[in-house]
Amino acid sequence: MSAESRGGLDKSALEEILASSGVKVTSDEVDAVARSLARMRLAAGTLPRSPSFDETVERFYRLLEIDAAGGAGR
Amino acid sequence: MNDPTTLTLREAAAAISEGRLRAEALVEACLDRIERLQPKLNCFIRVTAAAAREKARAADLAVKAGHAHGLLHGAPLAHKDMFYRAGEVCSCGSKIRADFVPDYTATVLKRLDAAGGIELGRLNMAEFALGPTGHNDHFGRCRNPWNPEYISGGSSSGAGAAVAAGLVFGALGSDTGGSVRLPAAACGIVGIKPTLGRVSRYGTMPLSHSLDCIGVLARNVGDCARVLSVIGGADDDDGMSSRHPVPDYERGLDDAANPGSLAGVRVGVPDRYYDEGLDQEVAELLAASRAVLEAQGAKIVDVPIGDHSAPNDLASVILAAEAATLHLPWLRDRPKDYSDQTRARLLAGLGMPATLYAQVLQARARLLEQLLRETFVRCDLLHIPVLSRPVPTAAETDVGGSAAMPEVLGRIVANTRPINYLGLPSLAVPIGFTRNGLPQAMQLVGRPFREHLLFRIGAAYEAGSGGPAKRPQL
Repeated sequence: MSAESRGGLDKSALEEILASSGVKVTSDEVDAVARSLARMRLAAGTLPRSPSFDETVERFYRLLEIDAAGGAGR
Repeated sequence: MNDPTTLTLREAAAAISEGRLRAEALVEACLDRIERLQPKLNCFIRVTAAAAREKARAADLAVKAGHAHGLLHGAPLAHKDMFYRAGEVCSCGSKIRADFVPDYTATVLKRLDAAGGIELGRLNMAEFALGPTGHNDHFGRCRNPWNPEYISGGSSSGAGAAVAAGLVFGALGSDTGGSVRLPAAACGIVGIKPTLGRVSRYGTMPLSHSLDCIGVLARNVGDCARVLSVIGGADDDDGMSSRHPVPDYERGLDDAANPGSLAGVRVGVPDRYYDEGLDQEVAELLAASRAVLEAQGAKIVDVPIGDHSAPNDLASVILAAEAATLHLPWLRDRPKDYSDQTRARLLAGLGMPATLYAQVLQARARLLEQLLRETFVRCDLLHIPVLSRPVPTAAETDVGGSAAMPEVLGRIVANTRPINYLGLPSLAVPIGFTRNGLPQAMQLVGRPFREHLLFRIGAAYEAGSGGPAKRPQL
């Protein structure tokens, strides 16, 4: 498996990261984690390139509440 | 009364409160049914018959004394085994927590108790709520009451099967990526995933705090609305619970049956993503369900929607990172006590860069805002499938932790997980059966905290389509 198909991670680097978590993993499991990471990094490629500095996580929760408050509607 | 287990929850609670039906008789009828069908369905992890009988006696005495006021008075319920009750085992569907006894009680259970609900036991679930099929290596697979060879859906597998089989009148589940809506759809019942924050999570097993919602599975829309009315609302013990007031979700449901009751309601059909790979049979059922809504006065409109493969994948980033963090101590110390599939899914989060996780959380507001501004401005709710294909067999999804696992499971949650990322409410309502004899469902997705609208549309659909789905012959 190429480093690219592991989400840009070299296998030994990924093994090191996983080892630092204290969890024992097999070589097959490292490959599976690499495939998952590759998928997730691909998804991250769809994220907005330049979010506003003030675009905080809290804003999402505020948006849920604001929309509810403004929409007594049906 | 012939068979009281065929009543709706609302009918049963009314009959008991008015002295026309004894809670003890109803609980016994349900316990008999559980005893007969549990070997076939494996939907219970534990039955608490003695405690249920005691509560039923107390409920009948309260009626005699003129003190029956609860909305759920005497109604038999059971819940996914992840809601804590002080002094009682809560396994979370796992070997690791098989003997875990919490010393406090979940807010949702306290609210159900106060409303007069009677808990009959704990229901099967995917290990730690990580799995959409109903497989469980520790407690055995939960089976679909329409055909035991097929999946029940998960992770609230026992909740779907037990409610559909008429063993209980309602059940609590949790929904992090579809775990209420999928078993509701696969078993032919109604399931609500409320808006993120609508229901307290205090005293419930965590999986992913940015996505977890407590939801309800019931036999029809009205019953589902009643249980959500009871459990919804702010909770001082859960700082993430919303202070937005809980409306009367049952209000207007009876009027929804009137012709033209949906006049002025715009039902949005997304122009992409949710129709990709849609099976022809499922597509026909969805079209027929839209025709019913249209006949009730709703206007069906095509609406633009962004590429929802993005929120689908982004939800998986959040889930992986948060679940792996929660499970890290057990992954270190008790690795062999996880099933292969659960362990494989949890490991995926260990290599996650922190900045990637934070970016994905940061992007939520923008994607929600975009949906509200560009899609929901044209419609009041979205009409999408729960499953894109007919319910699969257990064998077809028996992939364990193999390399095939991400794709097989990913297909099942593809239509539900984006909604968790966006935090929106969604109601799964049965719309008929495919040729394999298994149910299918539509998903009605609303703006934040518009559960009342979803219930109204769902009730109108039930009325317009000849009533809630039939019960399986067991």
